[in-house]
Amino acid sequence: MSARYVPVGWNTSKAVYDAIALATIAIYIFLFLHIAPSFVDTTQPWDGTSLKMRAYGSCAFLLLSVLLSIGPLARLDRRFLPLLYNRRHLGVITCAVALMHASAVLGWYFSYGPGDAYVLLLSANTSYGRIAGFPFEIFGLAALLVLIALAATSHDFWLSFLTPPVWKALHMAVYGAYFAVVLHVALGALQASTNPFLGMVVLACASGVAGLHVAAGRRARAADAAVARPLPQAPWVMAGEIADIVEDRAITVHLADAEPVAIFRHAGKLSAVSNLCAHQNGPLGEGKIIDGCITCPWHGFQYHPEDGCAPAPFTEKLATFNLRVADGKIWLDPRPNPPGTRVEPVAA
Amino acid sequence: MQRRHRIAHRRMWGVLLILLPLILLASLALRRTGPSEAAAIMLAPPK
Repeated sequence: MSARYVPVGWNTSKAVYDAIALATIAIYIFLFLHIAPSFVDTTQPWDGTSLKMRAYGSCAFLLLSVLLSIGPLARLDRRFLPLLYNRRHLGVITCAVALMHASAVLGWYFSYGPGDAYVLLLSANTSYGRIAGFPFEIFGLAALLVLIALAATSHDFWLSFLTPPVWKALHMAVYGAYFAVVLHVALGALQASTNPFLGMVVLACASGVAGLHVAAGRRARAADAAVARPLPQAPWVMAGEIADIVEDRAITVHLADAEPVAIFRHAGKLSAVSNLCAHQNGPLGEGKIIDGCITCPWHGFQYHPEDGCAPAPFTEKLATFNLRVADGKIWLDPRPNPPGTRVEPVAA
Repeated sequence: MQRRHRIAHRRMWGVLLILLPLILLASLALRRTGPSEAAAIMLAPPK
């Protein structure tokens, strides 16, 4: 993160993440270009442009599947959290590979005839009324436009400008893009291929991605359903037992009609803040305290536990909450204080 | 994520979990059988 505008706030983790991603992509494309032709039906060999088109296209599809699996995997198993850290760079790389695929496709259309490749792309096939031979290119184009829009707005400048809820809603368009990509593959590559391996891979990827999201969604729903019990001394609610909170960690309290609250234990004292990180609404309650600051598990944004303020020179602020402790139990007032309000930590 | 995003997310993927495999299986089932997939026509008996 950065307190002022920089194109990319590089650090060692980001450089290693990007290097591994780029090396993996280069190896995949190299192997595809050299190995795939030996599996092709000899009666219908691929030319050079067609081979590149398939190498880039399959790589973009696999990357998008991996990209969409990272979020639910990180929710289901904390060991996948490092993959989430630099996910936006992987998204931009995916968009670049998809553009390489589109460029190869246009090259193929250029060699098709003397006409304009862009016109030929959209007008060579207008069989919209039937499934076999449907102009599947239109779905690929729609997905590509969404990926370009998301890559262009992936920088923290846009996140700050649009606010995290709007930015997150906008970037959920990637699910629509994935749907369009699956249609693009189903009506394009799958129709042209006689190899059952391709169909199995695409089916496994699409089912796997959707299955992971549903599994993570079920876990989130179970947590949302376990709302804190209101007390006779309303509006206070029973948040849990002190013994439930490990030092420098938190419990997440789910409220009936509001966002969850994270209660942290640090230096033997308890503090409560909104569970939503001001950066991308990451789950702060799944993070930990590092150097005296609450640290978001997604991208490492930090806040002081007692007032919810990010350490200087950063300016992000979280809502804080009042706590009481009695008989080893923690009571929470679910009414949030204005962001940045200092609340004296309660002795555990 | 905010609660409304979590709910939208859950519903969307619940639908896609059914829809995506259905589309892929249907597209495979409705695939055109080309000459290369048709049974070979024997033009002359083997020697």
